[in-house]
Amino acid sequence: MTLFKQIALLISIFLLIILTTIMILNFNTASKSIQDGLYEDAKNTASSLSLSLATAGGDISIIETMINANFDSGNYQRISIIDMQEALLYERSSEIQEILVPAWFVSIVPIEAPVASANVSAGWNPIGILNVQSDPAHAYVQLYATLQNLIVSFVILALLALIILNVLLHIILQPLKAVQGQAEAIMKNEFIILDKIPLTTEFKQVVMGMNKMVQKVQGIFEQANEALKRNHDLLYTDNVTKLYNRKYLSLKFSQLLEVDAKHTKGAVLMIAFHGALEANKQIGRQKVDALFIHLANTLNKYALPFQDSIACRANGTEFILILPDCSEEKGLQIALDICNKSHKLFDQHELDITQCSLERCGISVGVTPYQTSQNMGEIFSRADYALSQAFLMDTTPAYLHANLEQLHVFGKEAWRTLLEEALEHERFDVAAWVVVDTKEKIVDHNVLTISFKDKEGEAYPYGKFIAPAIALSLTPLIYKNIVNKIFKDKNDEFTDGTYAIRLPLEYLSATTTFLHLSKLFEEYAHTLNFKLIIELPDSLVSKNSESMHAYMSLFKKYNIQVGIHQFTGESTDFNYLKELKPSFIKADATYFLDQTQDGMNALRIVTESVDVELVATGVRTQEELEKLTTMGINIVQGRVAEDLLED
Amino acid sequence: MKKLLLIMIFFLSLQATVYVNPSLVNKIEKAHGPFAKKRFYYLDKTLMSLQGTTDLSKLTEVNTFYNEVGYQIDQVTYNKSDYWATPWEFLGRDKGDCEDYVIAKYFALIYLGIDPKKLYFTYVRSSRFKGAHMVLTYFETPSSMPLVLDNNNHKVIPANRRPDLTPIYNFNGAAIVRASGEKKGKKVKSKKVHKQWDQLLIDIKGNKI
Repeated sequence: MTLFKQIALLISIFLLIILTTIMILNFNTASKSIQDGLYEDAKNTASSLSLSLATAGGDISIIETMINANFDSGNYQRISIIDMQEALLYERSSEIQEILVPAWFVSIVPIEAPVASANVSAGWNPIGILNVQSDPAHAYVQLYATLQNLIVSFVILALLALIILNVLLHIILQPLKAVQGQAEAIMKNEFIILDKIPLTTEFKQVVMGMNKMVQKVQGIFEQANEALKRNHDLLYTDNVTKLYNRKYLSLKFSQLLEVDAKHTKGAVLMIAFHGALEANKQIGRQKVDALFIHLANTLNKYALPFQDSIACRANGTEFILILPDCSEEKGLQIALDICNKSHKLFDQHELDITQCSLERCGISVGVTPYQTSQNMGEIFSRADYALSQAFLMDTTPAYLHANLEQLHVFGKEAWRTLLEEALEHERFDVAAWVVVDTKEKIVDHNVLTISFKDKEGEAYPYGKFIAPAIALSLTPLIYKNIVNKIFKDKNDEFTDGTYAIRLPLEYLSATTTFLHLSKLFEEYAHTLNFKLIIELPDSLVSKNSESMHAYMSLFKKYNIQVGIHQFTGESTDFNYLKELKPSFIKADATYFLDQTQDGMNALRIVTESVDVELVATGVRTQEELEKLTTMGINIVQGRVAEDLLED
Repeated sequence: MKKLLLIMIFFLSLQATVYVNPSLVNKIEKAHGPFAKKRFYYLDKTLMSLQGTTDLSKLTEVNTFYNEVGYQIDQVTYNKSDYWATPWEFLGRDKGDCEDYVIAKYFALIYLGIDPKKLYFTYVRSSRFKGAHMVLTYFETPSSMPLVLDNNNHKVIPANRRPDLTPIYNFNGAAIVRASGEKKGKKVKSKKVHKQWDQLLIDIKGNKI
C-alpha cells in the first residue's frame, strides 16, 4: 500500500471516528435535552396543576375535572393523584398510540419520560401527591428528525472533510509522487532528473541524492556511448579514407546475404589501384593518400543511391563497393564511370600514369552480381576473377563476371503457386530453436522459425522459401498468417517459456500490419500462455522513425517485449537503447570476437546500464564459444548452443 | 426512594455525634467569626437537651432557638432576590429570610427524630405583612390541624389560630420522593423534585457555609 493510501486511510478513519463521536455526542445531548424537556413540561404542569387543585378544597370531582382538562389539552402519558396513604385517588393515562418513527429507532433509543410530582393541599392540609408524566411519542418524532438532520450533516461534513483531506494530501505528497516516479524510472533503467526540487527537507534531500546518482549513471552511459562509437570507428574504419574496412565488409555483407535479407540481389564492384609504389615515388605518399581520399569520396557518391550499400577499403590499394538491388548492367556502367573518372582524378593529383614503369598502372574494376544465400567467399572469388580480367583490358579496364549459378530450382510462378497454396491451406508453422545460457547451462529463450509443407508433405525450411517469398512480396502475408497462428492457436508446447520471433521490415511496413496487430493484441495478447519477444533489426530500431515509435508503444501497451538482432554498433548514438529497453541485443559472434577489450567494456557498460543482455548468434565452433565465454558473452545461439544442452 | 434513604442516613449519622461536626464549626468560625462558633455551640447544646423529649417540646425549642436569628432579605444577605440557605449559612451569618428559618428548623427537627412526613414547607399569604411568606408546619396526622412554626411568632400554635396566614401550597420533598417510588419499573422518577429544594440538598451535602 502506498504511503498516500496509508496516510489517507489513517486520517480518514481518524476523521470518521471524530465525526461519529461528535454525532453520537450531539445525538445524546439532543436526546437528554428532549428528555429534560419532557420532565420540565411535566414538572411545570405538576406545579401549576397542584396549585389549581388546592382550590378544589379536597372535592374529588373537581380534582378529576381539573386533571381531565389538563390531560386532554396536553401531551401526557399519565396524570395521577394519590392520597397521603399513597392510595390512588384518580388517574388518566393515554392508550397505546402509534409512534411515527421506525420500530428500530424506538428499540435502540429508549425514551422514558420522567415523572414529575407535586404536593396537593386543601387549605392547611396536604391531601395527596400529584404525578405527571409527559408522552414520549412526540419526543421520539423530534429525536428522529434530529437524528436524520445529524446524519445528513455528518455525511456532508464527512464528504467535505474527505475531499479536503484528499486535496491537501495530494498537495503535501506531490513531491513524493515525483520522487516515486523517479525511483520507478530508475528501476526501469530510465534516467530522469527532477528539476523541481521539493521544499520539504526530507524530500529535497532524497530528490537531490537521486538526481546526483542519475547524473552519474548517465555520465557513465554517455562516456561508454562515446567509447563505443570511437571503438567502432577504430575497428571498422580506414583511418585515411574514412571508408569502412574489410572487417566491416565481412560483418555487414554477411547480413546482406542472409536468406531473409531485404535486398535479394545486387552487385559487387572490386576496384584496384595498380602502381601505388610508383605513384608514391612520383607524387609522394601524402598526395597519393589525398588521391585515395578523393577516390573514396567518388565511391561513396556511387554507393549513396543504393540503400544499405557498403563502400570499403579492403586493403591499401583495393576498394570494394557492395550495391544492393543494383543490376549487373548498372554495376558495369558504374565500373566504367569509375574508370573514366580515374583519369581526371590522376590529373587533379598531378599523377602521370604514362610515366609509370609498370606494365599497367591505374584503376581497374571487376564487377560481379550476387544473390542472397550465396557464399561470400565465392562472390569475392568471382569479383577477384572479374578484376583480374579487367586488369588485362586496355581501354576500359572494367569487367563483368556474370553469375551463372541457378538460385532457385523453381521458377518464379512455381514458387508463387506453392507459397499461395501453403498460405491458403495454412500450412505454415513455427518451430523453436534454443538460445542457451552457457553459464547456467539452461535455455535462456527460444527462437521461432517458420517453415511449411507442400501438399505432398515435403518440408520447406525458412532458408529455402524466404528469398522467393521476398521477391514475390509475399512476406507480409506469410507473417500475418504466422502471427495469427501464434496468438490465436493454443500453443501448448510453448507454455510458460520465452519465445522470440523476428518480424521483418516488409511485414512491419505493410499498410495494414499495424491495425491488424493492434486488433490481434487487444483480443488475444492476454491469452498468450508464454512470454513473447519480438525481434527487430538494429538498423530499423536505431532509426527512431515515427512508425517504429508507434510499434514500440503498441508492444509496450500489451507487455510484449522487444529484442534487437543484427546489431553492428553502427549507430552514432546508443541512447535509443534507453528508450527501447530491449530484452536483449543479438549480434553475430564475429562482431563480438572482433571487439577490442576497450570496445567490449564500453559495450558492456552501455548495455548493463540499461539492463540489456548480449546474445551471440551464429556460434558454430567450440573455439568461438570459449572465446565468447572469456569475453563474458554467456548467451549464445547457433549450432553449438544445442550441443551444450545435449551435454 | 434512594434520595430519601440518603437523607435519613445523613441525619442518622449526625445523630450519633453532634448536629454539626467540629471541623465544619471551625470553618464556620473562620468564615463568620467566633460568635458564629458560639451560636453553633448553643445549637448543639439545645438539640442535645431535646433528645428524648416530646415532639411539641422539640418544635417549641427549635422554633424559639432559630427565631433568635435576625431577619434580613436575601437581596441584602446574598445579593439574590430569592435564596434557600443551608442551616450552616443561616446560623453562621445569623441572618436570613422566612425560607431560611423554615429550612434550619426542618433539618434540626429531623435530626431530633421527627418523622419527615409530618413536616411541610408551607407557602402562605400573611395578611399582617400583606405578602408572601413561608412557615414550617407540623402534622400530627395527615388530616389533623397543623402546628405552625413561624419566624414571626415564638409560639408554636395550631394553624386555625393563625387567621393572619392563608395557606397556599404545601411542600414536602421527602414525601414526593417517597410517593413517586411506587410502581417501580413503570415510572421513571426524575432526580429533580423542586428547583430550590434540589439545590439546597446539594449545598448541604457540600457543607456550604
